[in-house]
Amino acid sequence: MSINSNNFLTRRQWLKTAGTGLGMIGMAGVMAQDKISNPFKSKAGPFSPKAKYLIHIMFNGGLSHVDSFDPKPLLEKYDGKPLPKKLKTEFATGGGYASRFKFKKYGKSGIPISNMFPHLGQHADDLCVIRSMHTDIPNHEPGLLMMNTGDNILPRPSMGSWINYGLGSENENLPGFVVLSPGGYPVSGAANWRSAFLPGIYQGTYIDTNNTRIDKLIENIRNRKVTSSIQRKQIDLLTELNEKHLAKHEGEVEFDSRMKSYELAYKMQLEATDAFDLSKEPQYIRDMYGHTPQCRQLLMARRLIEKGVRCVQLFHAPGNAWDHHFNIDKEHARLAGQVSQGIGALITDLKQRGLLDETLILIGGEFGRTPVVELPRGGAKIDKNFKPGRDHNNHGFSCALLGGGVKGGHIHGSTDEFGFEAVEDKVHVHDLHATILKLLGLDHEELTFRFSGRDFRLTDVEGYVVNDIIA
Amino acid sequence: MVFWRVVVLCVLTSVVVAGSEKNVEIDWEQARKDHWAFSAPKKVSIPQSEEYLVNPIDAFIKRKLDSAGISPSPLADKRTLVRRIYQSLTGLEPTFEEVQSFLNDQSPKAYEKLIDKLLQSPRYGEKWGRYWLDVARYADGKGFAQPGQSTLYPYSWTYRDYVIRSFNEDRPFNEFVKQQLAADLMELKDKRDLAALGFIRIGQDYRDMKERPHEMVDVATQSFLALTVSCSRCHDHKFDPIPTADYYSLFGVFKSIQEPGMDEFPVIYESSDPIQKKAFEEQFSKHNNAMNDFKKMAAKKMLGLIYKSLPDYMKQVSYNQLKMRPEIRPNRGMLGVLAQYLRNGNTVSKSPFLKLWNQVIRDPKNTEKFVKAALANKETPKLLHDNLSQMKAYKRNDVLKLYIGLLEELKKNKAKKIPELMKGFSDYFTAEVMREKNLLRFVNSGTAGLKPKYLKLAGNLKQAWSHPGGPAKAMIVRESSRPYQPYVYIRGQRDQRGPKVPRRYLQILSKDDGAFKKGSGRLEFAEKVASNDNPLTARVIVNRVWSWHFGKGLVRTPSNFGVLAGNPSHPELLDYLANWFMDNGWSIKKLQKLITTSQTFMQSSEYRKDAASIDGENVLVWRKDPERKTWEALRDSIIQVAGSLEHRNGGVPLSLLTANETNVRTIYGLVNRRNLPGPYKYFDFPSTTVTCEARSKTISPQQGLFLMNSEFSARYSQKVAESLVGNSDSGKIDDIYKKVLSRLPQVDEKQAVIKFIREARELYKNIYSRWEYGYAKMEGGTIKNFKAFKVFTNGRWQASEKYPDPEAGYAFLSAEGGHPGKGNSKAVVRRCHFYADGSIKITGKMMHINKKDGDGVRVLILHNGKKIGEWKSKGNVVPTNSGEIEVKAGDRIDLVVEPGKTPSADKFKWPMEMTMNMQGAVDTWSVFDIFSNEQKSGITYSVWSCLAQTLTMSNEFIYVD
Repeated sequence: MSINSNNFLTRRQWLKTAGTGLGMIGMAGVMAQDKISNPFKSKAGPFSPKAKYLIHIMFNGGLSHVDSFDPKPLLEKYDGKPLPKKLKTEFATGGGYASRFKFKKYGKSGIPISNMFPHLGQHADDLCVIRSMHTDIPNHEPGLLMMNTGDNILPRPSMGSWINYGLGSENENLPGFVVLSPGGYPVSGAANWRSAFLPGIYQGTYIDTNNTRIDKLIENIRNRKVTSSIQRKQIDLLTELNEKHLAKHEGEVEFDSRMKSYELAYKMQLEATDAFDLSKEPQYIRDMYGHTPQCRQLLMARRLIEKGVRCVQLFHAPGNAWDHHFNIDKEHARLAGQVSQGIGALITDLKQRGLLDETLILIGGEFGRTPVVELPRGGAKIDKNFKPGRDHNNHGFSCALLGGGVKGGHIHGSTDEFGFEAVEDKVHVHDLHATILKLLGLDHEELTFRFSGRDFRLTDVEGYVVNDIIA
Repeated sequence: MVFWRVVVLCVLTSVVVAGSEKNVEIDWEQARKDHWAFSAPKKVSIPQSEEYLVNPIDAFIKRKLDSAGISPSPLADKRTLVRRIYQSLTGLEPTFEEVQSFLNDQSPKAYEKLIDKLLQSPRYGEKWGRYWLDVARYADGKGFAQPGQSTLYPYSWTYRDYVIRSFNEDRPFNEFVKQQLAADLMELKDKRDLAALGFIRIGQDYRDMKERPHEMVDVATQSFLALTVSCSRCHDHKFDPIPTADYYSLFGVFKSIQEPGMDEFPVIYESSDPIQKKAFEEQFSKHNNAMNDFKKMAAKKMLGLIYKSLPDYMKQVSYNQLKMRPEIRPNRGMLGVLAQYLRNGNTVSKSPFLKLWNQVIRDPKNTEKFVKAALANKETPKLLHDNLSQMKAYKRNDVLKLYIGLLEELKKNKAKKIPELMKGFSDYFTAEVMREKNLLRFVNSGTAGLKPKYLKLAGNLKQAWSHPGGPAKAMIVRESSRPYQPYVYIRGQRDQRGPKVPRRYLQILSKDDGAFKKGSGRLEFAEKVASNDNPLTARVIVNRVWSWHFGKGLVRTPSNFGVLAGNPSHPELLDYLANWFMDNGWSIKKLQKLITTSQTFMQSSEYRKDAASIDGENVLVWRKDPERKTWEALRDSIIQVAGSLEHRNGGVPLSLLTANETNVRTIYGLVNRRNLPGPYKYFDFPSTTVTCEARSKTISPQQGLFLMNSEFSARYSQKVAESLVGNSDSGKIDDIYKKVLSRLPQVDEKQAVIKFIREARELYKNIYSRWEYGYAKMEGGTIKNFKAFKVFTNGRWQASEKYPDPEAGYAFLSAEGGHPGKGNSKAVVRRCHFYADGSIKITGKMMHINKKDGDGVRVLILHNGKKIGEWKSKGNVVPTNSGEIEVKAGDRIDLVVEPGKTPSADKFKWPMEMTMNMQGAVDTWSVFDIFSNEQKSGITYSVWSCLAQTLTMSNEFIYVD
């Protein structure tokens, strides 16, 4: 029986077919089997790369720039007084609030850093602070998605996925993109590290770093039934059967990705045991980093980079950890205290190992915070118990870059006199993305993926490389 | 401080500014015209092609495909189809036999008959109910709990079962909507339907309980209307015609809801199992009695505390008037009850002592009258009478002070008299304490150290309630007697009062002013949502059902039909289906039959470059997208193909992924909002904090690791292996394919599998020959005359068929332990030979069982005969850790257990693990895994288990074409 495969059946054909069984229709011919290309193969971008790896230290929730990297002495004058300038924020805000943190100039370059991060000063001359960052929306979900995927709303691939897609991996036994966060997901969860339409193998692999034992850190990392040699045979068989299946589903990217994910899982069993096992580090190194989960995961990041993992992203804690609408002085200090030593140690450590040149470190949140105080919510009154904090600020904020080909001891751009809004040499998140890609040897306009009849980019139709910060 | 003053000023300013913000007037007529979703689904006619297509869906789909120049895909073959329809409707695999019977059914109605059969299966509701639970952000846990409270909801599962039953019974969707919003206000034929209110109740519990109504508005409007009404909480909706006023109109409806506690939930049905029911009642009454005793005891203790400081309590109660400072700080919880009692004329009037207090507080102007009446009343206690009779002026505060003075006097001299005077209050207080809510308040404030005991009893009681024989109760809501009058919170801030708004329906969907007239208006709201006149509800559910069959909706954002949703891919089809659905009595099953019998649904899932280059996302449905099994479908089918799946008829949630896995479908597993097991997270289970319109689809190594290495996966793979029939390898391979993939292997597949079996066996052989089990004579700590056990039976190695053996006596070794022998065969030995260089480490615990008799055992670990460690155990537990041992190929390790002077009463357990680091590869395994598996299949955690596991990991198993 032959049926015009270009059309649905008509009623008559339908009855005829149904009566004789649908058996022979649609059986796919077995296609000539192409060897599927290795998604991990290390590749080079069009530019000569300054950096090979990216470590993104994410202060999810929003780091206050006027309390950390962008001192605003004028706020002292306006402390408790209305600013002449008022921009739209998420919640109602009141008068100016001068930073209660103390700034000091460090290094030859004299970059001011507040006492929130006492361990950063020693590295001031390696630090490149962008003070003129801005983003679109002062809410966490869109803010995080913009910082991590270049789009506020739509399901787009994350920066880590794009970079792995562009550069491949230096270690096929580990995921190319690892996401560390102690205790759970940040807001928007896995959307922050998804691969969207890029092959699934580039998706970030999330690890809960509150755990310290490897079999807790990565569940099921060990097989207790068979030896690795037998399991090797098993995975080989699985791949063979999956390839036969795939041959009948040519073009099904997801099938291909899943097939490869087993191979990765298999290899991770050996490699990850080592990479994530901090007990392999000498005590003095562990002490140098510090022992909070945030510091531990920084050490883990170094081990991963060393093993060739392309991108490691570290979230501070679940939810919106740094989101201090109230009591910011104490809370920002507390959180910074959890991570400052580790960041200092990471930089020192990478320097010692000669890895800082190859590793780009990005430090910052999804947006900044207002120079004005946020008013109490929910009927609370301003009294002696009121502890001031700051609202979200997408108009201006700071981030810091280090290593990997950026200008050390450099400050780029500025916000207005209060720190409310980026005014000089403004850098949008798209621009930051374009610049990061460039440092890694990729051209943000060339790094595309054709999907649904259109070429997509991390920076969509935006983005300018900030050449001023490249050494 | 300047700062605060100015900030306060700013608050005021911002109120003024915000208050003067005029809402932009919405031209409602225009708004309805501007976006398709706000006007009724159009009556559309089915596109005509050269010949009428069987199913109207196909006509709509075909027309769009034609205009894009894409041909539809050919129909899938019958084998694909049968699996697709089983998975799509029940979430389970068809068995090999079921596939065959469909393939062999040549009748024209075969496919339709199958659909009917599956729609009638109770398994159907377990699959489709789960989709709705995603929308309803279902969880069994609150996500947060007050100290001392359980984090779990006691009866969330009755809602889950209601949803499953609703799908199975094909409850008209409009009724389903109404019941979930207002079952308490409707006439119900079946009181089980009260559980529908779980929809409102099972949301996240917040630290700030004032969030609850906000959460309800959000889930109700997104689930049924696909409108993001919550966006209007702080400002008018940025995109849709939903002003903030509308948000607070609905907020008023939900804020008028009361959420009673568990002790007020009605029983909706009893357990149908009389034995279980009896077991429950016994268990329950035991714990309930204990709790009641505790409450009485607690009440007494607390009353004692109150009476001990009664003057202070009374001072605090009337502090506002008297300004008399109490010496101690009364417990706030208890004080509250006292104040409540004193204020409530009905209760306190029965107390001859306190009646007067109440009267003068309520009506101070008539103090004189009340005092005189008390003086005239014979029941007035003498003490009070005496004091009152000395009063000269009659002022309220004097009366109150008189009471306090009197009580202070009593406290000093006749403390025993206080309880007698306060009897009315004692009774009232005791009754109050018996109510769960108050008791919690008291024990939480640490009164009299009651908390630990309470927590224990409450835990027991909760345990008792969750007994499978317990009655099912509905987590109901109630209307408050006086509905809440909403006003706008300016910028969403509770303290910034904007204008009052009526409780009413969304204006964009109302023809009149939409104001609700009955009570809070919740029932009217439910009726409007479920009405045929509602342009959204039918479209929204039709689109959801479509998306659950096809992987994506005609509207790509199933929970947002607002302006941002854009146009549907097939607007006319959506409208046609919505009207068809309403015309067919809002029947989900009928709709599904229409969809699943369409050729659109029956298309092949094959990827086509030609079509993909035009429409990569398959928006136009030129094929049926392959579907990845959800976490539930994956877990269920793994258990199912192992032949272990157990069906149940609802009931309390069970913890899954435990050591003794429960073989029920995943929908019956506990969903703890606070802490979901790993696989839930990495297999994309929804977060349960907000409504979930579609699950994300990730691929991560953790998924692979779970399928490769988890206990769960191993257990069921082994079950498959154990159930194999057929003697030859070939027969077994066929059987394993039939069981897991419901088909026979193809020739090339079989070749690959045979090769694997052969190679894996070789590898297994090496491992197997590593271990020997036997007995030996011991001389001066060395092994003499090792003899291997010859017989393996009942999970043990022993010397011969005869037990005790004449030579070896009671000697045996099992996976977990054994018993030494006698005479010259007294030691039992596990011997391991190594075939490679490396290092090993043995960790274990010797547990000699009998404390009383005999003289215990001696344990030795020997490396090539040299002693590494020695331990003794008699009726106790002794760790036996070897430390790191370097081994070379050809080395052997002996694990020896020998008796003391006498081998009697020397049964032991010796669980242990060996970590091996051989040539860079680290394996930790329990020697018992191998031991216990050997006994079953004759060889190993066999190659067959491995094979079964491999097939459950395959794309063919994980995806449904």
